[in-house]
Amino acid sequence: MLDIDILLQQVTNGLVNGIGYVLIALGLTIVFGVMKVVNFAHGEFYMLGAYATYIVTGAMGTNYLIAVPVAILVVAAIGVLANYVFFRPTRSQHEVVGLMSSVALGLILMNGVLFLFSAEPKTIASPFSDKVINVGPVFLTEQRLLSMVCAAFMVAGAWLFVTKTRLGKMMQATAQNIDGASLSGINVDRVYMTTFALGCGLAASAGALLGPLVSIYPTLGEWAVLKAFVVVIVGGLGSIPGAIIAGIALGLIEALSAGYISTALQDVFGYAAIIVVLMFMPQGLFGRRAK
Amino acid sequence: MNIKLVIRYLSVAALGIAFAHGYAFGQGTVKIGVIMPLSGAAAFDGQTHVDAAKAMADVINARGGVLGGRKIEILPYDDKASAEESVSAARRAITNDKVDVLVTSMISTVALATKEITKDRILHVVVSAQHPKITEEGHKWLFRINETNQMRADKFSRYVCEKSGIKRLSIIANNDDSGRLELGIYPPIFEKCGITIAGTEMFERTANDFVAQATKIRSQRPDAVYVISSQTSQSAAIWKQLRQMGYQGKIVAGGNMNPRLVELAGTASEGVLGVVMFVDTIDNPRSKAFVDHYQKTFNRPASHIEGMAGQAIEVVAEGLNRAGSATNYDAIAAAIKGKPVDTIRGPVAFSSNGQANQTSFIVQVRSGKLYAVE
Repeated sequence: MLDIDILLQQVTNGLVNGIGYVLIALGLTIVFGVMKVVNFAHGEFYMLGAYATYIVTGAMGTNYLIAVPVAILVVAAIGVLANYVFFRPTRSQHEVVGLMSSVALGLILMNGVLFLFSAEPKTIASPFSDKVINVGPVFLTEQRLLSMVCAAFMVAGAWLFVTKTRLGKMMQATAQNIDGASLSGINVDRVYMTTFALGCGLAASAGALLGPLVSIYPTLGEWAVLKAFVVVIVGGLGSIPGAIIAGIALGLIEALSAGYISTALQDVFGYAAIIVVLMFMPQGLFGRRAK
Repeated sequence: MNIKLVIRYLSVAALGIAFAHGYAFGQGTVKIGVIMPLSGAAAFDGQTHVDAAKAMADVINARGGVLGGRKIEILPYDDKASAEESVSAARRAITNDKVDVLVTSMISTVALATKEITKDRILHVVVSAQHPKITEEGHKWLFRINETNQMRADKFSRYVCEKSGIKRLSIIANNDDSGRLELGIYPPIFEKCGITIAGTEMFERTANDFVAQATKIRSQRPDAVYVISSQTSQSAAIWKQLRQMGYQGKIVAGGNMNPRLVELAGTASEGVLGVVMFVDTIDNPRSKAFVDHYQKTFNRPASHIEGMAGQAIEVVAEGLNRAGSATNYDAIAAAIKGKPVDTIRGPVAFSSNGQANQTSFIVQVRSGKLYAVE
C-alpha cells in the first residue's frame, strides 16, 4: 500500500539533497585528481561560501542572486591565497604534509570565522527561502528548487570546463602525469592555482546555494566535509562522473531509508553503502585501481 | 657590582611577586568554572549559559559579592558538546586554573561523563542537562537546576492530555541519551490518556536537513508534532521544514524555547507550544535586577536558559555564604540541601540527591512573542 505522493516527495527530497552533495563533493575530487592533495579544509570553503553570501546580502543589502556569484568569486580568491600559503610550499614533500597543511588551514578558517562572527547561528536572507511551491503532490521551497537547478548547472559547467577547455585539458594532463605535462610546456603552478580556485569556488557555490536552507555557524564545514568524503570515496577519488553518481545515490539512499525504514538509521545507511561498495570496489565506482 | 647576584635577587623578587599575585588572586575571587558548548551547532545555547552566568555574577558582586566581600569570577570552558572534551576541560579547570566550583552541561551525555570526575573532588552544579540519572547516580556534591525529562514529561503531558485537544501525535527527537529517553517516556503517558502515537522519528546531533522526517510526519497525519530538540538552530530548522514539507498541524516544542529560536523560525513559530524554566515577567526584585542587567549587558531578553544559568550561580553563592567557605564542599552541599535557596524564581528546595524541586512554565508563541499559558 505505497502512498505515491509520499514516495514522490521522498525521491524529490533525495534528488535535491543528492545534487547538493555532488556540488559539495565535486571540488574535493577535482582537487585530489589534479593536485593529489586531500583537502581537509574543503568543508571550511563551503562554510565560507555561506558566510560570504550572508555578508553580501546582509551588511551590503545586495540581492541574493547577485550575492551568490560574488561570494563564489571572493572565496575562490581566498582559495588562491590559501593554495599559495598552504599547499604550494609543501608540494615537493610527501602527500601527508599537504594533508596536515590542509587540516591547519581548516582550523584557521573555522576559528577565524568564529572569532569574527561568534558562534550564534545566522540566517542568509534569501527571498526564496520560505516560499513553498507544489509540483504536483510534491512540496518544494523555491530555495530547494533553485539550489537543485543551479547545482546541476554548476556541475555540468565544471564537467564541460574540465573536458572541453584548454585549461581543463591541461588539468587532466597534469592529473594523469605531472612530469609529462610539465615537459610538454604546461605551467603546472598555474594549473594548480586554477584547480584549487575551482575546487574552492565549487564548495563555496554549494554553501551559497544550500546555506539559506539552514542556519549557518562556523563549524558547518564539519558536516559538509564528511558528506564530501563519503561521495568522493564511493565515487572514486578524482572522478567527476563518480562524484555525480555517488552524490545522487547518497541523497536517494538517505531519503528512502529514512522514509521507509527508520529515520534513526538515516546516516547508517549512507555509511553502510560505502562499506558495501568498497568491499567490492576498493577504488570506488570510477576510481583508478592502485597498482 | 656582581651581575650574577643582581640577577639572582631579581629572579627571587620576580618569583615572590608572582607567588604573591597568584596567592592574592586566590584569596580575592571565588572562581566558578562554566563548561558549556561554545563551538559547533549548540554554541549559541552554550554561550547563552555563560553570558547569563556572568550577568548573575555581576549582580551578586554589585550587592557585595560572597563570603564577606569576595567577588565571583566566571571562567568559561568549551566542552564542544562532547563528553571527552568536557572531562578534559573539567580537569584543566580543577588542576590548572584551581576553580572553586564547576557549573556545567546542557547535554546529558556530557553531564553523565563529567560528574564522574567531579566526584569527591569539587562542588558541581549541572545547569540544563535533563537525564534523571545525572542526579539519581550523582554524588554528594552534585546539584542540578533543570527539571528532569521525567518531571517535564509529567507536567507537560498532563497539559497536552487535558487541555490541548490533541488526539493524534507524532514525535521527533534527537538521537542521543536524552532524546531516546524521552521517546521511552512520552508514548506510554500519551497513550494512557487516549492520544494515538502516529509515529516516532529521530535525527542526529549534527543534522541540518529534516525533510525526510518532515515528509514522513506529514504522511502520518497527526494533529500535533512533539519536537524534542535542545539546539536553537536545529529546532528552528525542524519547525520551518515541517511547514515547508506541507505539515499543517500543531507544533509542540519540548527541550528548548527562547526568543532567538522564535526569531530564527519566523512564521513557522506561530502557535508553537513550549516549556521554559524562566519567564522574564516573574515579579520579584531578584528577577528584575537580573533581567534588567542581562538586557543591558547582552541586549537580549532573559529566557529559559538564562534563568537556569542565573539560578545556578545564585545557588552556588548562597551555598558558599551559608557554609562560610568556598572549599568546604560537605558544608556547602549540606547548606544548599538544608533549606530552600532564594532565587530569581522564588525559593527553590533541593532533594537529597541534589535535584532542584521546580518545574517549567508552559508558553505559546503568538506573533513572535512568548506568552505563559500555565
